[in-house]
Amino acid sequence: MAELSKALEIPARFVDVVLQRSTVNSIVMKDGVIKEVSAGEVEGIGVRVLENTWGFASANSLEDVLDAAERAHRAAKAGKRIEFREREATIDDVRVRPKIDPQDVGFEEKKEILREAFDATKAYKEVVSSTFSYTDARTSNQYLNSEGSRINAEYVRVGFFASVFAKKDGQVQIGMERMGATGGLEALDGAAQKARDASERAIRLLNAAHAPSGVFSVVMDPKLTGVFIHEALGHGVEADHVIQKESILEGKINESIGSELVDVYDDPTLEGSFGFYFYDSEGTKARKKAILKEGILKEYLHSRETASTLNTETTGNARSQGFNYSPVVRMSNTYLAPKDFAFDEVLEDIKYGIYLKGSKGGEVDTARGVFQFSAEEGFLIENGELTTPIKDVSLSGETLEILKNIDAVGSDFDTHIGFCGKASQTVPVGDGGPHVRTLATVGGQNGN
Amino acid sequence: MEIERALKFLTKRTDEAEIFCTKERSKTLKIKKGGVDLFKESTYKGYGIRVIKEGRMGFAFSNRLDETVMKSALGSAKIAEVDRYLTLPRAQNYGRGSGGYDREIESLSTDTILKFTDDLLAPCKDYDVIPTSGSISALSYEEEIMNSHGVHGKDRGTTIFAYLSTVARDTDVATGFYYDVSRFLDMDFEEIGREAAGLARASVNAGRVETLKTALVLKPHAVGELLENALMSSFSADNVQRDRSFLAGKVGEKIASDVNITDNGTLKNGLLTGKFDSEGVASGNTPLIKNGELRGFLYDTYTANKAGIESTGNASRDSFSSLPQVGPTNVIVSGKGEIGEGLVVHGLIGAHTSNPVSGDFSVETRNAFLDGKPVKKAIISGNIFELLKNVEGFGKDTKQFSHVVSPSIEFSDVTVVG
Repeated sequence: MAELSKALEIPARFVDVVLQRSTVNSIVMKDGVIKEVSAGEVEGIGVRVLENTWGFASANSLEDVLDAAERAHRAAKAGKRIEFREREATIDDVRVRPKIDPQDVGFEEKKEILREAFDATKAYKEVVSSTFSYTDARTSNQYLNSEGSRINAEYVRVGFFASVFAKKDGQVQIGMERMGATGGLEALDGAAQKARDASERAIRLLNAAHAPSGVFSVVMDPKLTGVFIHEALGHGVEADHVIQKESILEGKINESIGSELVDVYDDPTLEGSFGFYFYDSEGTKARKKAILKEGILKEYLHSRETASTLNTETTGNARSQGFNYSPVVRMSNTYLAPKDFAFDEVLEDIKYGIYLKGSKGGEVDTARGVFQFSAEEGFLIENGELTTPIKDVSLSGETLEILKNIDAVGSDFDTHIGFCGKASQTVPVGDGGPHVRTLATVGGQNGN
Repeated sequence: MEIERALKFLTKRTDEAEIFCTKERSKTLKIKKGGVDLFKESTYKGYGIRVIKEGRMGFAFSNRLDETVMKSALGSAKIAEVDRYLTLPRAQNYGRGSGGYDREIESLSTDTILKFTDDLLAPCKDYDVIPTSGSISALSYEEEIMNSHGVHGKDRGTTIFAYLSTVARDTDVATGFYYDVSRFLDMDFEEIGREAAGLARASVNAGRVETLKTALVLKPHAVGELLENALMSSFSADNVQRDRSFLAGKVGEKIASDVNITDNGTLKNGLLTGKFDSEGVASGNTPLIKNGELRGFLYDTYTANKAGIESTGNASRDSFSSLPQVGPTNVIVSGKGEIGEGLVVHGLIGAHTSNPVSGDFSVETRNAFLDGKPVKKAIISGNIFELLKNVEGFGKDTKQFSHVVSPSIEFSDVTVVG
């Protein structure tokens, strides 16, 4: 710490420094054989300076970073003055305490997680190939800033990733599953079940029909609901997008932008969640925020800078991928809260519609408020019943229309892990929700 | 520790060993709301150590080349399982020159980057659009690889990257996005700004389209996004050997219209050009599709061993912290015929959701025009292998985006959902 504080001597309006040490272990099993075993350590320092604009420097050693930070400081004297309010210092020392700490467990036991997953796929004769991987990471951050804050935080994360390929009549389909947590191996208990889920989905897709196209009543499963909320709404409430005039939600605080059934939260304090953190990357304590309450937009997500610009308090959503990135406004765990519809009640009024499950990813244009994402699979809904399995189906539309059209919100709830990319940085997040019914454009290959 | 000494340390304790080292230095200027937001300077150094002992491979990485990382790699090798096809490449002959190095990029001053920023933003006024975000980034790297069979390669390179996002308002809101990347400081920043601004302005007052079948013209950026996500993994020998490629067993068959696709790691000025691949094999030039006929696949040393052939020089790593795996370099797409009318699409939204095995995709378009008029929303759905059979013609506007080097391509009979 004493050494690091040299960076705070740069005569800038504000300086913060992070020293980060990460150790990462991973094991990859391909087609039943442990092929890749990897262990690594990375250490580095990032220094952020504010003068008129931001300067940022990062390197693997303190001496390298100090030179670069001074150059970055000079560059930051150009440009228009960025708003940034001072605040009190925070001093804390926090750490995640996993039940089963990966560092206390040998590689053999970690391999066993993959072995069990692979064994679970043997029951399916269509499965021709699989890749399972395990990863654990321990990251310690020392954070210092020129206001006197000193925060040490240590995180442990684990992840399990499955991709299973099934083949029939020359056709190949994939099923993918993943699970993870901020915590230890206790979070990966269900790995074999995930392998079965992936296998069964890949096989269902072999027999699935192409999806129809057009505007339909749509039911999203919890996973897709989570992705929709994250992508279509969440990115639009990131205050940097709002300030840059890249959000359709600019100027809509306290306005109704969705159905009364819609409550949405961003909560980094959920214990064990993938998007968990104690403090964000500029030392702000994490807290739960209501983004939407009964369809009314309550709050944007903020960093210290965006909060200063819009004259409000930061929400503690400034996150960086690592020491070599300057933090930007990001989500943590974002979810739509469950209400009281049972699953069959969500379906029952639908004469002809589409049930969409899972997500292969998506993209959103926050300025126009349009989004697109692809479901992993789907089913036709006919007279309130799930019928034909369908594949390669995407959902797209205007965020505000979809939110207003939500007319049933399920009582079930589930969360999934994700890796969110923004400004060339990837951070771990959680998405979640119940089953939700709305009206949307579905794109499939059955055009007419 | 020096690389030579480290390699000796490893060679004494294992059958085969490899040390990969990369040093990176970057300067980035970020633009927000039409002005400078952040100036960033970063350096990075990393080592990846790969060892093979009795058919088991171990890997470790670190910022430091010391005994800890080497012992960690040796330890990893004890845990992995035996695979007799695992070997490291034999000594190679590399050509002269480098991947693409421009001293001017490496020594670019902050003031010059600020001037480029002015150039990038200037066209926004002409088109009355708001620049929302953008950046200019100059990167230089040095790479070194050494293995116990006598592979020793050193290379260096530079890239410069710039992008701009814009918003135009009229009766509706439209966005524009454009970027460019080059190995040399030959970039026209004003032109990037003009593309991004012009696209946003041209896209306002968009109309809806009905669901229709139409000719589709994908501009180079859109071609790149689609091929990269829906097609390229089918050419990986690893996927072919593991029964995960639609193209497995089809070599010699006509699988497409009159199209040529070649992977060329030696392409002059190519973004992915280098002397050698990520395990030190000399870069190659591999035909994949010639006149519509499937010619072959991409191999690294491991998959080549399995197939009993030579590596095509297609081992690639995301960074020093990852193991090499089969990947494309510069993928050059060409063919005959000209571009006609239809739905013209500049970019795609959600191309990464394509099915990399079946080639099925369903994507939203960005900056799409039907008969010259902007379209509000158009989803294109189809299958890349079917689409490749319906190629009508090629433009003359060849550009590289990520791996893919292609002009605009016209496809016939594509379903568009409005």
